[in-house]
Amino acid sequence: MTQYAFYFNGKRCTGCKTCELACKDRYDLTPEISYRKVFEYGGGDWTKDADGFYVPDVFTYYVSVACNHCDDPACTKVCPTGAMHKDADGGLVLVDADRCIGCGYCHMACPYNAPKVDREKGHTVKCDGCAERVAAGQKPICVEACPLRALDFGTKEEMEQAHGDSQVADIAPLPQKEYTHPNLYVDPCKHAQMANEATGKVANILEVM
Amino acid sequence: MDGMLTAFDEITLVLFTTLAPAGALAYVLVALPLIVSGDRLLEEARRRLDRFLCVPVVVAMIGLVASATHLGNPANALYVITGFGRSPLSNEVVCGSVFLSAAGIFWLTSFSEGPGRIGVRGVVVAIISVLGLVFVGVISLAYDASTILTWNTPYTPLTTWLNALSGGPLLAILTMRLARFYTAGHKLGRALVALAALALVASVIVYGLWGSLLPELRNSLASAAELAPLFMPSIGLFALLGIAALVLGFKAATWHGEAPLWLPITSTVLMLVAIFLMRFQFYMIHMTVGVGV
Ligand code: SF4
Ligand code: SF4
Repeated sequence: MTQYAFYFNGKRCTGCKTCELACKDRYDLTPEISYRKVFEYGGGDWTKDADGFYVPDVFTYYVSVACNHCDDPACTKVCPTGAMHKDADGGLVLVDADRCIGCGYCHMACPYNAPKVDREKGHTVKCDGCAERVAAGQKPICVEACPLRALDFGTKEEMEQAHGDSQVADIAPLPQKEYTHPNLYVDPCKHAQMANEATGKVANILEVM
Repeated sequence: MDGMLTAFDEITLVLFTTLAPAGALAYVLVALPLIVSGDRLLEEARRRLDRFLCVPVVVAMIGLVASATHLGNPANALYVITGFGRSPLSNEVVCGSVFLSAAGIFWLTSFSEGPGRIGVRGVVVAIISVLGLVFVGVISLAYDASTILTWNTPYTPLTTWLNALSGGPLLAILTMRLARFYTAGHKLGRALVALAALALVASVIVYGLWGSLLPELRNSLASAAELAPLFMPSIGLFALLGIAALVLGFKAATWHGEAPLWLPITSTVLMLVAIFLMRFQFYMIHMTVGVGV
C-alpha cells in the first residue's frame, strides 16, 4: 500500500509562513482556518556562572505542520460517522463531507490541531495533502511555495530515500510520535527539543489557534 | 489563553452531559418501586408513577436534542449509527436514542394498560432501566480519548457517574412528588437524599483531586490550570449549590403531606446548575497532548 508523507527540514525553515499562506490562498481559507500552521517554539533562561556573569541559553525555532495523515489517527478513531477516514490508495486521511455531521470530535482529539469544523460549510475541513495536485503528478502547494525548500511530499519510501537523515516527527511542540504515528519526517534543527523532554512554549499562540 | 472559548463552543454538550446522565438515573430510581414492589403497590399509585416516568425522560431528551443543535450538519446524523461499537460518540448517541425511544414508547403504553399486565410492565421497565444505566455508562466513557491529556483519566467517567448520582435522586424526588407517590415514613425519599449527599461528597473529593493535578497537566501551549483558573473556586460553589439542593430536597422528600412544588423543583434546578458549572469547567480544561486546547 502506498502511504504518502510530508517532510520538514527544521534546519532550513525561517518561519516565513509562505507555505501557510500559499495553502490559504489556494483553498480560499478564512482567517480562522489554516490547514498548515507554522509554530514558533522557544524557551531557555539566563543562568549565573561562577564568575557572576549571566549566560543565556535561550532558543527559538519553527515547525511547519499540517495534517500528518497518521498511521494511527486519533481523528478517525473518534469520528462517529466514518466521515474522517484513511484513504485506501495513498493513506491520506480525508473528510467525506457528505457524511460529516460537524460534531468536531476529530478537532478535539487530534493532537496536531489539524481538523476544524467550518461552521459555514457545516462540516470539518483540513489538509487533504492536495490530493488533486498529487493525482496530477504535482506536489502540494505548500511544498512548492516554500522559498527555502524546507518542505517535501511523496511516498514514505521516497521521503526516506531523499532525506536519509530525517526521522519521524518527535520534536516539540508536536506530541510524541507514539500517539498517532504521524507520516511526517523531520530534520530537526540544532536546538530542537525532543517532544518528551520539552522545556519551551509555543510563542505565537494567536497565530496558530 | 484560557478555555472559555472551548467551553462556550461546546455549551450544548455541557448541557447534554449535565441533563442526560441525571435524567437517565432518575428514570431508574423512579422505576425502582415499579420493579421491586410491582403489584404490591396501590393500583392508583402505580399508575401515576408509571405515567410520570416521562419527567426524567423529557429531561434526558432535552439534553440529547441540545447536543444535536451544535452539529454543523444534522442531515447526516444517520451515519452516526455506522460508528456504533467503534466510535465512543456513536455509542453514546445510539444508546441514548435506544433508551429514550424505549422509554418513550413504554410511557405511551401506560395509557392503554389493562389489568393483569403489571408483571410484564415490571419486567419491561426493568429492561429499560438497564438501558438507562448503559446510557450513563457510555456517556462516561465517551470523552477520555488517549490524545486528550486532561480528559484521559479515570476522573472523567467517575465524575459523570457521580453527577448522575447527585442529580438523579433529586430529579427522582421531584418526579415522585409530581406523581404524589409516598412511602411509609418517607423511607424512599430519605434514601434518595442520602444517595445524592454521598455522591456530592464524593464529587467534591474527586474534583478536588483532579483540580490539584491541573498545574502539572500541560502541553506546549498552556497548562490546564491556566485554561481553567477558576476550577478550584468552582468546586466550592458546586458544593454550596449542592448542599442547598440537598436541604431543599430533604425538606421536599420528608414533607408532611404534599410538599409545595417549588421545593423539589428548586432543589433539582440547583443541583443541575451545580453540575453544569463543573461540566463547564470540564470543557475549559480540554487540551490535547500536542498543540491543541
Ligand atoms: S494529524 Fe490529526 S487530523 Fe491528521 S491524521 Fe493525524 S490525528 Fe488525524
Ligand atoms: S466533525 Fe465530521 S469528521 Fe469530525 S468527528 Fe464529527 S463527523 Fe467525523
